[in-house]
Amino acid sequence: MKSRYSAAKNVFVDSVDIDDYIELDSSVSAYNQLQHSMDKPLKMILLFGRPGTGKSILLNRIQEKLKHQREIYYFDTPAPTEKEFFKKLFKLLTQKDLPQNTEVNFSALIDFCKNLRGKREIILLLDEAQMYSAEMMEKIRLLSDTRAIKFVVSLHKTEDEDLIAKEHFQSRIWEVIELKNAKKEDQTAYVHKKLLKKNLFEIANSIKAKDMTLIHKFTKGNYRECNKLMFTIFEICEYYDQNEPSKINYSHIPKKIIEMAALKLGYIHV
Amino acid sequence: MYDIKPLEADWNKYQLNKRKPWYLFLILFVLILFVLWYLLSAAQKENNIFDEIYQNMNMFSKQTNVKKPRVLLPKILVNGSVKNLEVMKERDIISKVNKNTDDILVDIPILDLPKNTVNTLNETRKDKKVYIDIFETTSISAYEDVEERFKQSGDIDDALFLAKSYYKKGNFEKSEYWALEVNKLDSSLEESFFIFVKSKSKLGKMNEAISILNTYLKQTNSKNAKVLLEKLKNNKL
Repeated sequence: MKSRYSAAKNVFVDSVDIDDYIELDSSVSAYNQLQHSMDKPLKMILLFGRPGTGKSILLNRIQEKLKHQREIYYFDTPAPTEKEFFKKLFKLLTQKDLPQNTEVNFSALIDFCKNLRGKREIILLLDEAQMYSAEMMEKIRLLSDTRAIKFVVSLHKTEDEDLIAKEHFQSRIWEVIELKNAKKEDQTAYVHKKLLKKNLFEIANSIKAKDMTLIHKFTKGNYRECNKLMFTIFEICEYYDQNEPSKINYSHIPKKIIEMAALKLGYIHV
Repeated sequence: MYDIKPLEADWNKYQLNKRKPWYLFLILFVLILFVLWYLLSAAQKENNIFDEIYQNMNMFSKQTNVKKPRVLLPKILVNGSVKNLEVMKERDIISKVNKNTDDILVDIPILDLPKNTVNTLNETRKDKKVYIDIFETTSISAYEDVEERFKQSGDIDDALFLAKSYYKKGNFEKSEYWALEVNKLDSSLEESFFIFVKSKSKLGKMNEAISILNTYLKQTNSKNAKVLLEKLKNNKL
């Protein structure tokens, strides 16, 4: 027997799926800000924020929206080696694969890019940029200086990564966009919209304002944490629905279940 | 979801821990209330004890002032012959109240007393039964002192003392007078009444004395009054 909570649970599987993009006031604002910055003659833009604040989905969203209007590419994960990165870059610049047993000559690549200035305006979205080495980041900067490629660099904001950002980007970045954790209202809208998008109206309605207060408290407004928590909540609901239906109230999510999910995920401890 | 039971157990523990400060607060609150209640009740009890002591003291003072002859301390300077006059029992209540109660009650200054007499007094006051020696004196001024003090204090004991002393000295006019004074203060005091009657008879007013005693006998049916009446009638006083 399939539980009514199974579908709800799957809504919150954490993935960067553009179809799952939820337009919130804060995300619309970030989107507009990023688009506006990309229109400026800037060489590098830094998209900055703690993990789970929606950087990847924003890059995806903007690439999806602008791909037919501008030459925009999205590198979701950094290439494992410098060679791999330039191989990918060579392909998107030349629309050709790198011949076997060959390597990209960086000086030649710079010259190639300089020749592209004024002819093409390429936007490269680099997600998880904290994983690039310092040497690699220096080469990216040199490429951006050709003004043929505009880089949008997405970085996690942790204490260590703050240092990286300072060392490698501060003097080179022209604009910084910081994404922050959601406020309670945004997070409430996020959860409800996600459920309504999958026509789970009753379940969306069963999550009351005080439940969202608790969820926001546990997740601190982080979207990824919110997804994890909501997934676990519906997983527990699913279990009760299937095995001990007397323990579940369909009109609202019991506080006990939210706390159990928080315990499971380590937000609270015994 | 296979780990729901351990998760439920964890949640129960979490709830317990979460409520622990509240439980502690509640216990502390109840404890404070109990301590306050205990202190208040203890204070109340103490007040009651004081009230009781106060009441006892009042009762004692009332009894000693009015009903019973109190310890008569030697207040009179003695120059002449010494005679034991009276032996008094202290009431049990004295011991309940305070050893110092005697001091409270004995407010008459002691006049120049021979050393051996003072010792006798101190010794007697240590016991529950207090034996008081009252010294008869020929010194008129000593009686005058007591009379003077009576005028100021209105102490019934002083009046009774004078009545008895004058009667024993054979000064029946004065003993009659002082017995009457005692009677004015406390008409129920038989001793003063008898001194009054006896003084009357000694002054030759036998019929008057018998008449007064008869009237008293009708009212009280006192055995002592009957005995005294018999003595008066048989002239054996």
